[in-house]
Amino acid sequence: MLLAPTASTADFGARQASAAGELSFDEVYEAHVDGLWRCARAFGVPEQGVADLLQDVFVVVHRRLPELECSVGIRTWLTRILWRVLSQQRRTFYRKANHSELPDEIVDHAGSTPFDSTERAQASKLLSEILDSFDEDRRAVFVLAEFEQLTAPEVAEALGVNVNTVYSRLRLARRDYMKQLARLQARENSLAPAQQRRT
Amino acid sequence: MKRHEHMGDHPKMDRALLNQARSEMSPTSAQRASLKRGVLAAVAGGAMVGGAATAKAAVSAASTSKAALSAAATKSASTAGLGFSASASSLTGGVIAKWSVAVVLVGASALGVGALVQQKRAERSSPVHVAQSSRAVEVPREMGLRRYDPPSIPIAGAPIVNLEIPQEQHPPAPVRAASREREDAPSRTADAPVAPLVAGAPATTEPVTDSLAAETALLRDAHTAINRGDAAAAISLLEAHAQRFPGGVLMEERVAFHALAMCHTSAQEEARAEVERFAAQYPHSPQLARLRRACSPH
Repeated sequence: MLLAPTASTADFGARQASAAGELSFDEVYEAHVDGLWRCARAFGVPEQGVADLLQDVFVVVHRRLPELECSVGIRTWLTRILWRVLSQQRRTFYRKANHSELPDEIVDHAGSTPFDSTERAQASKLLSEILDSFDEDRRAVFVLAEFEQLTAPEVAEALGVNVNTVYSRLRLARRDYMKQLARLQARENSLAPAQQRRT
Repeated sequence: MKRHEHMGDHPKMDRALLNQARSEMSPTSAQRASLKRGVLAAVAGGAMVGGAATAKAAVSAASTSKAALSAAATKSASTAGLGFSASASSLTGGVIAKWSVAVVLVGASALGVGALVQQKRAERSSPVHVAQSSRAVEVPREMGLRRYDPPSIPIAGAPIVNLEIPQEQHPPAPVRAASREREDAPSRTADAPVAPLVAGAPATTEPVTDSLAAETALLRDAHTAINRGDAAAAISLLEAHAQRFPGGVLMEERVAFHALAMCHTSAQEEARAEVERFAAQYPHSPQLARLRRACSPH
């Protein structure tokens, strides 16, 4: 078969035989929508844009799922699609970007109290602020590795870059992250000392 | 920042914030559900909802493939779309029955709805005309339904197991997808004659195991009927859908298709009334603008 490049299928060849239990779109959607959504948010796509972006992503996923021969690398595969769609349509999805604004409705996470929500909302705001200070590539690596906890080789596959590049970006991103975190925490503490004492 | 000197492993990497932010940045169940609806609708409705992407995909497949075109010479443009999905699934070595239904739908309906008008002409014309009218789908105003240009992920090429595909293969100009595909993969299409499935792949060949696939199949068939100009058949399929899936996920599409089918009958008054009812029921439906256009008096 012409299209199947022997080099890349070789890796999967062994598993291919047993990969008959194909995944349904529903399964894939339910298992991965949260992760992809989070990822898109962490990449800096505003909430409005995330729905549009993920719709495109899942349409692609739907179409290509039959090609997926092995579910082992599905997260990487999905992330890769997300990254591609995003890269191609960057301007569109980021257009309404306004990360400094939090959504008014912080909603319906089961079992959460208003206090939890507020805290999480603050965390998410803080994180967005830190990530916004990163350049795009570093941000992507950091988000996938630290936030989504992909391994470095997975990150490399998802972003289509070299593993060494991933490691080096990740190192720098971590350094920046800690710097920014310290800075922002210092600021928060000076602004709201009362809140710190509460716990 | 002395304690961060060990940059390799960052023992002090503080992940508390990351962990806290994680759940906040996840979708709410409402967002999750609405997204899924959107995806299913885009998949089922082809050009009517998220059509530009799927239309382009099908178009690129159609223009990539001489085999598909000549096979489609006497068929409608949407069969070129079917041809594509045939090649896609045969490439994976085994047709995955359930999904091939859905994939076929994407190709078929994308071209089908997108080129609703052109297609009727194409059906009776030469392959060259099929190609031309298909390509016209790339730019029409219907695509304005979407707030943005959907992506042109090169779905036909690049099997996903190959994770080393250079980025350059996918430049950011979606409109060029068709011609790029053609350059990229001439041998593939030449060698994978896609005609067989084109001729006979009724959605019902394989037992559909889940209701989404069944819904999808029904709507796809209804859609094909509309494209054939067989409004009566479409309407009866849609009524079957209504009976089997009164509260189905694709209800909105069903109602829209029904109105669309009605527009092709002589009951224009009734059709327009139906469109208006649809408008009242789904005021924000992305299908609305197109429906109105299709049903407007000339």
